[in-house]
Amino acid sequence: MQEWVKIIINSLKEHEISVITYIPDISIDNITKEIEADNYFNVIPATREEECIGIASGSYISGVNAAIFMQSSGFGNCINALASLNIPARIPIPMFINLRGEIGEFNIAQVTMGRSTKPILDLLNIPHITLDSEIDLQKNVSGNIKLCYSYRSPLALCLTPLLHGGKIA
Amino acid sequence: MEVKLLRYDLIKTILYKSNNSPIVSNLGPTSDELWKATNELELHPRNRNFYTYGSMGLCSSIALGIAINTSETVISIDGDGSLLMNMGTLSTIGRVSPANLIIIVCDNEMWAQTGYQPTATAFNTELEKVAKSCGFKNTFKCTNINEFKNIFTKSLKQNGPTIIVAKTKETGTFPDVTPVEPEFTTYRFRNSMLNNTKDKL
Repeated sequence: MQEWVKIIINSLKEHEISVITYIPDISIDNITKEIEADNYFNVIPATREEECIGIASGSYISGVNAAIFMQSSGFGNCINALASLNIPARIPIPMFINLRGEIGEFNIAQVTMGRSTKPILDLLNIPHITLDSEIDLQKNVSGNIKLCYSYRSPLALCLTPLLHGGKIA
Repeated sequence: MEVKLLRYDLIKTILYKSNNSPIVSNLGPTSDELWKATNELELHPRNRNFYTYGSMGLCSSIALGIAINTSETVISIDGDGSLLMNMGTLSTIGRVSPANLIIIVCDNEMWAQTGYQPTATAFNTELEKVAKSCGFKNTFKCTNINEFKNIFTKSLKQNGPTIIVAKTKETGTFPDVTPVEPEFTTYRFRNSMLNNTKDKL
């Protein structure tokens, strides 16, 4: 298992995040496959990222922490759900978002949403961090997840090709 | 002409019969009427009402997220406009197949609150058939309150997932917006689930 995958999975367990709902992405397939194979997790692949927000929110309000994996294009599908459910109802969800439009991007259609993701998070006042190195990764992931639950706000953890190595031409 | 039922009567029936089950209600009049009916039946605050105020389409997805973590029956009171917006959630529910999830669709065949514009269920879409093809165990359609009472009572004892599409009519008036802060709804719903309080709330 790659180190970054191990660190993120350990952080999820540390915070008792046992429900994972996701839409696949080849660059973060390493981690979602490991999560699928780990009995600790109850994994629900959804049909659309906005649906992931609903499922993860339902899980949190029933007392079980949940996280989401998706790519930045799918973050675009979540904006109203975050703005009208998670923010007013104060439902925290760590969202692991693979950022497209970064180094090595080969698809013009992925660039705009990818590069707009962090500015939109800022407009929504949703805390976010960019994970581009294994250095201090455990502190970054675990510490920010702790913040997510204490602030009771969604949190974006943006994964880049520098971390996972995917899609660098 | 087809008999149709009132959403408010349907909601009261659900409250009467579902004991302390978690209920998620669709945004707008459905949540507002759930609050009003809970008040009328003197069940307040009924901590296991989860009112939604936005996030159109996600009512049944939220209910799925609850259902996977409890053995209690979870009830989603959804609407046709919302479910059509997130019809993929029927596929996901069919895939996960939670035995304890009941979706009740108040199908008035229109977006009522925005000016009574017809939705696709006024034409060719039959949501109970969509759900059936997604793998729902029990699928029902009903057009009057007695029929609904019988189906709902039976559904509470059956393994789901279950969908009941109830053809509803509008009265032309809408109640006031649920006067509960969304964050307070989260707080008390979650605490009630964490404490597993089975007593009347």
